[in-house]
Amino acid sequence: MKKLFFLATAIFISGCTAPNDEKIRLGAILPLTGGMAEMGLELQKSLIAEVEFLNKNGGILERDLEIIFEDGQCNPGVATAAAQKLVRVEKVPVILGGLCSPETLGAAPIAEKNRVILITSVSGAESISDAGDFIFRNAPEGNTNGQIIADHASALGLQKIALVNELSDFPLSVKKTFLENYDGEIFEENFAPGTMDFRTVISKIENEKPDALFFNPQQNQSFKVFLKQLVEAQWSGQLFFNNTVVGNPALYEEIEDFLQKNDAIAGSYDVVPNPQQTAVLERFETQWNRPALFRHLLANQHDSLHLILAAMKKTGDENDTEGIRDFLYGVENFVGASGTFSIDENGDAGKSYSLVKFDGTEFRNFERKK
Amino acid sequence: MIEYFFSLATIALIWTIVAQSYNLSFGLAGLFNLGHVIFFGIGAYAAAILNTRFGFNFLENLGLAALISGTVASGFGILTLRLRGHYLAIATLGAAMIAQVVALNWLELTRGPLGIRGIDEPQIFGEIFVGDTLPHFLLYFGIAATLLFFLWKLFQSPWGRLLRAIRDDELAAIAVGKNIFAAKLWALVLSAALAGVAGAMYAHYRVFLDPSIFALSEIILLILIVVIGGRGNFWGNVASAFLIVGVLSELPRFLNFPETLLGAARNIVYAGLLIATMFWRPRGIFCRRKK
Amino acid sequence: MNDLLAQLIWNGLVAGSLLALVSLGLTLIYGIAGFVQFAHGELVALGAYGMLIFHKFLGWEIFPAGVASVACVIFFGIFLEKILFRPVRKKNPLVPLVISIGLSILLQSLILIFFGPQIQTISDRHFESFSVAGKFLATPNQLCAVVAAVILTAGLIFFLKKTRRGQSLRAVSDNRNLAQIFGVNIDSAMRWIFGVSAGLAAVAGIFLGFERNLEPMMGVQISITAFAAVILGSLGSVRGAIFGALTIGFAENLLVGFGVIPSGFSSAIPFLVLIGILLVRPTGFFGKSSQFLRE
Repeated sequence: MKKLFFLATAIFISGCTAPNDEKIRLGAILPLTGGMAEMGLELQKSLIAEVEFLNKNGGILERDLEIIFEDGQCNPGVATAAAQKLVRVEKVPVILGGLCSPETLGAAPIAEKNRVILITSVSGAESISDAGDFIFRNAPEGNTNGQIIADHASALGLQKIALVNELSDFPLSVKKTFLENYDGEIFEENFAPGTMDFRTVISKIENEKPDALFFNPQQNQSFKVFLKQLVEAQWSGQLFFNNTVVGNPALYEEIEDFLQKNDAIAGSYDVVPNPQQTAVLERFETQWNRPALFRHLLANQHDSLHLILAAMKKTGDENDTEGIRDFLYGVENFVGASGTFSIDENGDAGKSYSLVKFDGTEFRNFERKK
Repeated sequence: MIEYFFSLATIALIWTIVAQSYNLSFGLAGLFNLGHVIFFGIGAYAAAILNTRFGFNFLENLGLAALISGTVASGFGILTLRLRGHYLAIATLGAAMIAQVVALNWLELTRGPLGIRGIDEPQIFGEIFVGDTLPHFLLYFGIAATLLFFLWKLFQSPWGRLLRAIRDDELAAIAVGKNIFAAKLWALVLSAALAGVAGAMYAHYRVFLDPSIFALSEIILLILIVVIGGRGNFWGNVASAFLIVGVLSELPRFLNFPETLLGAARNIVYAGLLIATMFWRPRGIFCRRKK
Repeated sequence: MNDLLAQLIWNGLVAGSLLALVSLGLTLIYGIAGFVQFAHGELVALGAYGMLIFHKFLGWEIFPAGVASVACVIFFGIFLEKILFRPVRKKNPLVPLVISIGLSILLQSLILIFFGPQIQTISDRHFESFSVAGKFLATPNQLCAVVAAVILTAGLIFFLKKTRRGQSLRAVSDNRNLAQIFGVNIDSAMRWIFGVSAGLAAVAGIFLGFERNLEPMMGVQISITAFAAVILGSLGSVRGAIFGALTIGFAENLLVGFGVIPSGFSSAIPFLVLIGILLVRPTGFFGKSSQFLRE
């Protein structure tokens, strides 16, 4: 038995490489396994492509950049362990991520305590705003997504909407503002993460005969089966989605089936196509030989990385996390792939959502009728 | 670097307590309860809520978590201890599913999937043990050592022998006039209280808590520790908690696996360990096979 | 136009039928081998993924692809029995149970490695649902699932009661030692029971795959629900498994459908029903587990 222990310890220690002085090392926490892995792996691929490109063009502070990826599994406990490793073993000054709010909130205390910058490009939970001095968010808060859909639905004069939420942090913050802002009648249903059968819920909704359906999930797996069963239940009303549908072609073929009858409208990150964004997507395509999914998230994440790099250039020392923090709080009108933005006193980039409509191939911005 | 090991060791200590508490009800008293993680979760939620809403401190929470978990367990025990074998196992597994769904849905109490944030870090007697990983590790080591010492005494006591006797031959225990229901119930309540303490330690150490604490993966982790460590084997469980939580669960982070295989690779190791243990060392890997 | 009650009853019947196919396998294994097979759900998943390979990747027609997938899973089930469960047959039932937990994790991980974490669909086309008597909507897949479940269940009962092989299996379940003395070959009884239950699981997997899509963890959900079903109807009892599966299928649909229980709690319903019944009858609805297949 002792042998086994020694072996394990030996592997454990030999696995830890000494920090390489040559490279600038950043950490990233993303869900690389589990229900949100599809999104996490896509963001990882994009970061790898970015780093490759940067290093080919001279790197940063005349050194190469390296990103150490850790799996957060969308789980706060796992994300905490990942943050511990990044902070204590790899000694990174900056962590990019997490993707899901539980990841970000799990990692935040470790980052804050050790004065390491944590910048998420996706998490929408309200409580990230006051999670700490070193915690930044380059993404809109989830609750504004609910608001624009509610405003649009009210403007269209829809009397009754069925609202179906996944019991996850992001959908719940969307739901909260939707309930506050929509004037019509709401028929609400919730489901636990990982649900794969919606027949009952759909039967209930059809029986209520609402004017529209707002589907508000977090994970792809539920999304796809919900749409499939909705088609089979011959649903024919207006559809609303939160932003998880945008840039997610796996779902598009399902949505097409509804288009003859009605619109599909989603709240998406307010990203106006621009040259920087095109460049990011091109780099992804050259690296991986296929177009990127979740484009709006990629744009956000690209900007988070470049914010950090800009800060490092300013301080001249990648380990001066207080300098980086002060730089970030001072960011105004930063022009990035996701548009122009500033960072407020909570460390939020104050981004917003806009409405997009499915045109048969992609969700695109459209003119709202007032 | 060394701080990282302390942070891992602290989590391993917490799981040692949970595993030992499970060892008391499952290993010693033979209650095949697949829902033990409920008591860990209830302890954690009790501490998180009492701390963030009502301002109870770490030390008070350890006691309150034990009390709340123990109380829940006594109700749970009265309802379920009539069941035996697989019936008990599946009913308790179901109870864990129910607990997770309740934690997810009861937003007013648990904040559901939003989780509870801003739980105080562990500290006792004012400023002592405030700070980083080493002080926390020392504090947790002290608490764990105390709890485990009493548990070890309990394992050796006449009462521990009674539980073992019930596990091995219930009819014989009844025949010599022992109240086996009371003994089982006490074993369950004590083990739940202990798991509750571990839960409170977990919540205060992690400072963020969400319903994933009730997940199936945690139940499997617990079974893994106790099976590898050996049912009823006190030191075997301490070792296996450190081996699994401290080493194996974090090891893949240091091996250069492709990321897509990371979670799967870890699970394959777990599965292999479970199956191999059952084949060659059914009483735990630290225990030689009976000839 | 459509009637909510009729629709919910139909939904419940579909869910209950699929669950019954899974539960029957579990209860058979318990009856003969004496333990709850935790990896049973993974055989369901393998049935669905087999269909994915044969139908979608290799382009076979639905029927031959289904037969091929079921056949593969049956052989796999027999293989598992031989290498994993036969060597520990004489041990404490906890041993094969823990092995099956390990097996379940192992198979999930292998599916994850080979097929990736993403959702897979067996067919890109949706089913055209049709209205039955103007009361509720059904898809061809659902209809086939219910019919298949009824035929297979009837066939299984006929097999167990009327054929010599089935009678010997029942004898093993009643008293393994006595059956052995009377010349029943235990090895072949085990092979049969693992093969039959794997086959039932694979059939359920194929229909579930069409109904709810595929993902590596799909077996866990259905098998946990099936545990509740077999325990509810008493372990080892065939009619108990059918009763339990239908009860849970209807309970999930009707309780949520009429708002008795909020839909967010729906995954807890099988266990709420189960615990409710166990409080009244600690060994399940049909009493003692030794009454395997008596009636």
